[in-house]
Amino acid sequence: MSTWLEENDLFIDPQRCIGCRACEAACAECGTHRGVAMIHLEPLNRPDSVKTGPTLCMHCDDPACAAVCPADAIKRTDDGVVQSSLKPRCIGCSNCQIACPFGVPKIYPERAQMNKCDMCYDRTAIGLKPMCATVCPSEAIFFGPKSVIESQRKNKANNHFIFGRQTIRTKVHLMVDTEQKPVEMDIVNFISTTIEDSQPWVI
Amino acid sequence: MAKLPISEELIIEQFGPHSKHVPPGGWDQTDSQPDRRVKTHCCFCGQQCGIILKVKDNAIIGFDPWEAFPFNKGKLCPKGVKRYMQGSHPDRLLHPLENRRGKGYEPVSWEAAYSRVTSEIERIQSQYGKDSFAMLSGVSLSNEKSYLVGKFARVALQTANLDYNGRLCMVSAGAGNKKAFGIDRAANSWADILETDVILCAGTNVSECAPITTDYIWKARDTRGAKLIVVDPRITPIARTADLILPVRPGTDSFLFNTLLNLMIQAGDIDQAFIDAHTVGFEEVKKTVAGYTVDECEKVTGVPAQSIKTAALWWGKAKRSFLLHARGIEHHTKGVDNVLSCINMVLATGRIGKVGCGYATITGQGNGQGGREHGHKCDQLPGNRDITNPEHRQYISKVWGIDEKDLPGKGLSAQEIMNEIHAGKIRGLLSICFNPLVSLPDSGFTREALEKLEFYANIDFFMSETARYADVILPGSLHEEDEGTSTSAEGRVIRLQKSVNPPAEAKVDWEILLEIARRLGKEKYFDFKDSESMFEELRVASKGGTADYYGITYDRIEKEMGVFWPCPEIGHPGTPRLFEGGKFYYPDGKARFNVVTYKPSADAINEEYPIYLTTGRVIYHYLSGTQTRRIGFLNDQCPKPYLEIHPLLAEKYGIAEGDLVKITSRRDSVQLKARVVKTIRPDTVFVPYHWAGKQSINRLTQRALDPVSKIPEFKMSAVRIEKVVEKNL
Amino acid sequence: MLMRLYPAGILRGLLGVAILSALVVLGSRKLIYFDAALVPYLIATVFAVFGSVYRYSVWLSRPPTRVLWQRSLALVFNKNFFANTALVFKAVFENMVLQKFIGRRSAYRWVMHFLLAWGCVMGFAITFPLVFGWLHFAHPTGDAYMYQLHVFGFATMIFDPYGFIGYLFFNSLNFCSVMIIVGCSMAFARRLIHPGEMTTQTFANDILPLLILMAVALSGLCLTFSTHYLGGQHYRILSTVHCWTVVSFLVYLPFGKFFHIFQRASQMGAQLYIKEKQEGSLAICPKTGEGFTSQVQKGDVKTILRELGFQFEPDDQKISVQDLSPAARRQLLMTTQHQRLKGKFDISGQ
Repeated sequence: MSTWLEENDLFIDPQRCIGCRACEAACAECGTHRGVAMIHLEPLNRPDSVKTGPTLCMHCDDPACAAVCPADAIKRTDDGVVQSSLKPRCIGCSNCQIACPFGVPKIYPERAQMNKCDMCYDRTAIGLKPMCATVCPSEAIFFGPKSVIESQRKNKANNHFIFGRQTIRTKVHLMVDTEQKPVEMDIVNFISTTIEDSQPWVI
Repeated sequence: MAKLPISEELIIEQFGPHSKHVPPGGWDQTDSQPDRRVKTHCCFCGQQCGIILKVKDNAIIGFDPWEAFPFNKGKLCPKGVKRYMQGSHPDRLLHPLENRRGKGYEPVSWEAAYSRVTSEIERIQSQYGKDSFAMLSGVSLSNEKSYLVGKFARVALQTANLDYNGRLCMVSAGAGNKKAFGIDRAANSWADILETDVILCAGTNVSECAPITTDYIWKARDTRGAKLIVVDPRITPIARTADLILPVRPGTDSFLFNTLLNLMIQAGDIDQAFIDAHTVGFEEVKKTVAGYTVDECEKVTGVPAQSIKTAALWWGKAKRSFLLHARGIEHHTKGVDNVLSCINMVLATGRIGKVGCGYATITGQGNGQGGREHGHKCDQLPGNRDITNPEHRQYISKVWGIDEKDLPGKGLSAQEIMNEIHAGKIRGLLSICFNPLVSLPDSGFTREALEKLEFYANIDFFMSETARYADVILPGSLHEEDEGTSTSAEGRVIRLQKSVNPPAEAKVDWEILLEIARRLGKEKYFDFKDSESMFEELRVASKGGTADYYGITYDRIEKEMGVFWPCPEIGHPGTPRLFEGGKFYYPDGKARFNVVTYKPSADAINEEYPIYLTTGRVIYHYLSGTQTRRIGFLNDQCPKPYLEIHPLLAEKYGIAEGDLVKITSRRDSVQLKARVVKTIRPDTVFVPYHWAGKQSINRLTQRALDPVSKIPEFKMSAVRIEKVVEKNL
Repeated sequence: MLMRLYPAGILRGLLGVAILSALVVLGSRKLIYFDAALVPYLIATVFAVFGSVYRYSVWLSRPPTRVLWQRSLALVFNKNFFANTALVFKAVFENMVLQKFIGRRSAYRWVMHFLLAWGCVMGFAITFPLVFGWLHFAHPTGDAYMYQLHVFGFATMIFDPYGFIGYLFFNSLNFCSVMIIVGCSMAFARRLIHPGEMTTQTFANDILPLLILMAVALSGLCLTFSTHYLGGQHYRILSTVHCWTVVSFLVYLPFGKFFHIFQRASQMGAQLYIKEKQEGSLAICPKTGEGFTSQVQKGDVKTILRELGFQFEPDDQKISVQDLSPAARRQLLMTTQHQRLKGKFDISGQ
C-alpha cells in the first residue's frame, strides 16, 4: 500500500501567484515550527512587474544541502521528504544555503539553525495537505496526485532540472509547457534577462 | 460635545492600533491542542471563506483550513489566515468608556453608559425632532444584526436617518442591478465561472480584494481555455496574467463599455432573439451607443484601439461569458451608469441565466450582500423592500407590530448624514461598525462634522479613529463572539458560529441594542432571546420580498453548507443561478436596457490638477483597517500608505523611489513616499485608503455623489504632485 | 544493516582505549585505588570511548565535516591567531557553556536543555574520576573524623565530611540527578503534547535517551534515599540497577542522540565562517549584486560538491548556480518558468 506522500506530490506554478503571502502566513502556523515561515514569497522584479513567486523546498532525490552538511543534520525520509535540520545537530554554518540550487534554506545565525520547508510533516503524516498548498488562493501551490493536476491544467508537471551538467530530480514539480524535455536552468541567460510587464496604454 | 478628550498620541498609546504578532499562549506553546474547533467563516471580505477556528480557554489560539466548505475548499488569503489574531488583542475595548475632556476615556458602568445614551437620545429628539438623531451602521454585521439595526432605528429611535458603510461599497451595483434586473444579487454562483469561455473583470482587483476568485478564473482558463480580459488602470496581479488588459483612464469606463457594445452590434454579435423575448429598451441603447467610436474611445479612455477591437471581438463571439465588476467602476458619480453599461453588454449577448453565462458584482464587505438586503440602508426594508412603497411598508409594519404611520420614511445616505451633521441639522449619532473618519471622502470635513455633534455614542470592539470622538463608547463583539448568518458575494447564506464569549465587560452587539430599546420604552418590539429568534423574524419579514429567506433555517444552512436566496419555501432548494429561462424580476419578467451617456467625472482634470488619483485596497488590509492594522503579520506587510507612480510621470516631477511626495487635490494635501513602478498608467497615481490621520488619502477625495446610489467618487480625483524637499539634511 | 568498517576509525578507537587504560592505571596508582565493584562501569566506559572515537573518526572522514575542520584550523591559524583563539573561546563559552543559541530557539527548551546538559556533564565529571580511581577519599593520617581528597594518588585538601564542603561532595550527584529529572520531565512534557515534536520524533532517537537519563537519575537518587532513610536497605539491588542504567547510557552514547555532544564542537567552525563572511572577501552575486557569503566558504562548498560527484558547473566551467545568491536562485526558477511558457500565461489559448 502506498503512503499519502507517495500518492501525492507538490506542484508549483509561479505564473498563478498573486503575491498575497497567504502561504507565508500559514506556514508559520504549522505545528513543527510555529511562528517561523519556511517558505519564501518574493517579487521577481517589483519596480517593473507585479510578478511574484513562492519558493518552497523542492525535495531533491539527492539533496545537495544534505551532502554538504558537516553536521549531518539534514535527512531525507523514505517517502521523499527532505526534512528541516535536526535541532540537536544543526550548527547554522550555511553550507546548505550555499549549495542548494533552488535558494531554499533559511539560516538563523542567532539560533545557529537552518530552517526549511519539510512539506508540513506534521500534516502530511496524518493525510492532510501541506499548509501552503491548502490555503494558496490561486493554486500556485498545489498538492495532489499528478494525474489530477494534469487533468486540470493546460501545462504539464516537470521535476527534472538541469544545472550545468547536473540533473536534479525533485519531489516537487514545476508546471511548465507540454514539451517533455527537462527544465534547463540557463544561468548565463538569466543574468542578462529582465522581465517587465507590458505597457498596454495610450497616454 | 464630540471632541477628542486628549491628544491623538495619548489615545494611540492607550488604545492602539498596536500590532499583535503572537497568538494567545505564545508560538512555542507546549500544549497547543484546542478544546474545540469551530467551523465558521472569515470576516474580511464578501467571499466569506469557510475557516476553522481553534479555541482554548475562551481564546482563539489558531486556525485550520476548512477544506470541506465548497466555496473556498480550505483556501484563504493572508487576512483569513491571520484573522484569528484579532482576538485576545491588547487594544480590545473591555469596558464602557466615557469621554472626559482633558482626562481621556474613563471606564464607567454599563448602567451609567446606558442611561447617558438613552437620556441624550431623548433630549436631542425632544429638542430637535426624531430625525435629528441619526444612526450609522456597517455590513461587517451579521444578517441578524443588520436586521435588528434596521428595526431598532425605525422602531426604537424612530429616525429616518439610518444608513450604513455599504454606501461606500455596493450601492451602485445594487441600484444598477435593480434597475436592469429588478433584483440586487450576483446573477450566478461562482460555479458558473468555471464553465465560461470569456471572463471580463471590470474595475476589480480580484487578486487582492477577492483572492479566492482567482482560482475560479484560472480553472476556467486552464480547463476550457477561457480568455481573461481585465479593465483596470493598474497592472494588478490578475491583470498581469490576463489575455488582454484594457487600462482605462479612471472615470472613463462607460465610454469603453458603450464602444464595446457598439462594435458588437456592428459586427452582429448580439442575440436578437434573446433581446426581443426577454428585454425592454434595446433600441434606445443601440441608438445611443452608435455614437461611441473606437477612435474616440481610444482618446477618452487611453486604451489602444486594437485592444478595444479585440475585446469586442472576444466578448462578441464568445459562446459563454462571465462579467465581474467591483468598486473600480462603481465608486464614481456615474457609478450606476457604469454598472448599467456593463449590464447592457451582458443583456445584448443574452449570456445570462445559463450554464457558464453570468454576471456578478464582487461584494467587498464581509456581509455587504446580506447586510443591505435586510434594512439598514436608508431606503430599504427587510427582504430588499422599498421603504417608499406603501405595500412594503404595510407588510413590514405588520411584522414589526407597529402602525405604518409610525414607520419613518426614506432617510439620508451615509455621506448626506455627515453633511447634515456638519450643517448642524443632525445633532446626535449612534454608530456601530463604521469608521467614517477613514472611509468617507474628504476626511477633514468628516472630522469637523464629528466635532459638531452634541452627542455621539459608538459601539465597537476597538477604538476606531472615529470612536475617539464619541462621548460614550460601548464595547461590542467581534465576528467570532456572536453567532448568526451572513450572505456571501454569491448570494449564499452561511452560518457564523460563536467561538468565544466577549471578554471582560464587552457584550454581544445585539444585547446592547436590545437594552437601549428597552430603556427607550420599546421593549415589546424587541422580544429576542438569541440570534436565531431574530433570524426567525427576518425570515418572515423577508417573505415575499425579492431577497426572500423564508425557506432558509439555521439547520438547513449547516447541513447544506449554505443556501442561496431567493428561497421562498422550506422545501425550496435555493437559487444559485438567477434568471434561468430569461426570467427577470420585473412584473413582466423582462430585463431592462438602460441608456447610458458618458459624463466626465465631478473633479475636472486641468492644468492646475493634471493627474488622475485613484484609490483602493491592498490585500493585507480590510476597509478602514480597524482590525487589520492591529494584526502584526498583516500590518508588517503594509504598515503605511504610499503613492504608486509610473517612472515616466515620476521623472517629469524629479521623483525617485522612496521620495516624499506632496499630493494636493482641491480639498487638501497629504505627503506620501513614492513607489515608482511601471505597473500603473503614466497619467494616474494610486494610493491605498486604509489609514487615518495625516497620511489618509481620503483627505483628498471628494464628497460628490452618484445621484442614484449616493456613492462617493473615490476612484477619480484630480490632483497635482510635487516632490517634497526634505529639510535638515 | 551492515556497515563497512572504517579501519582508521578502529585504530583511533583502540588508541583512545589505550590512552584511557594508561590513565586509569596511572591515576589509580597501578589499580591500588581502583574499586573492583566499579568494573562494569569501566568496561562500559571503555566501550563508549572506543565507539565515540570510532564514530567521530568516521564522521570526520565525511567530506563536508573534514573540510569544515580543515577550514576551521586554517582560519584560526592565520595572522590573527590570538583574535581567532579569543573568538573560539568566546564561542565555546556562549554556545557550549551557556548554550545561548538554544535560548534563542525557545526559552523553554533552553531551561530544559541547560538542566539536562549540565546535570549530565557535572555528573560525569564526578563519577568518571571516581570510577577510574583518579579520585578517592581517605582519612588523613591519625584522624578518624576528617576526610582527605586524593587526586591521581596525590593527597590534597582535608575537609570535614559533615561540613559545607563535605555536604557538597557527597550530595553533588544528587543535585545532578534532580537537574536531570526536571530537565527530562520538561522534555517528556514537550514530546507528549507538542504536535510538531509528536510527528517527527522517533523512539530510538528521542524517547529512549530520555528514558535512559531518567533511569540513571532516579536510580541514583534511590541509592541516596536508601542510605539516608532506609538504613541501607535494598542498597545492593538498587546499586545493581543503577549500574545497569549507567552502562546502557554509555553503550548508547556513541550511536544515539547523545553523540551530538561531540558533534556540537563543529559549531566553532560555523562561527569562524560567519567571521570570515564579515571580514573576508565576499562572493558577489552577478544577478543581484549582493555579497551573499564569503569567497572562502563558497569555494569550500563547491569543493565538497565536486568531491561528492555533483556537476553543477557547465562544460565551460564558467559559472554555476552556486555563484548566484540564494535570492537570485529563487528568481531563476520563476524566470525559467516564464521563459518556458514564452511569457504567455495561458499557452494553449494562443
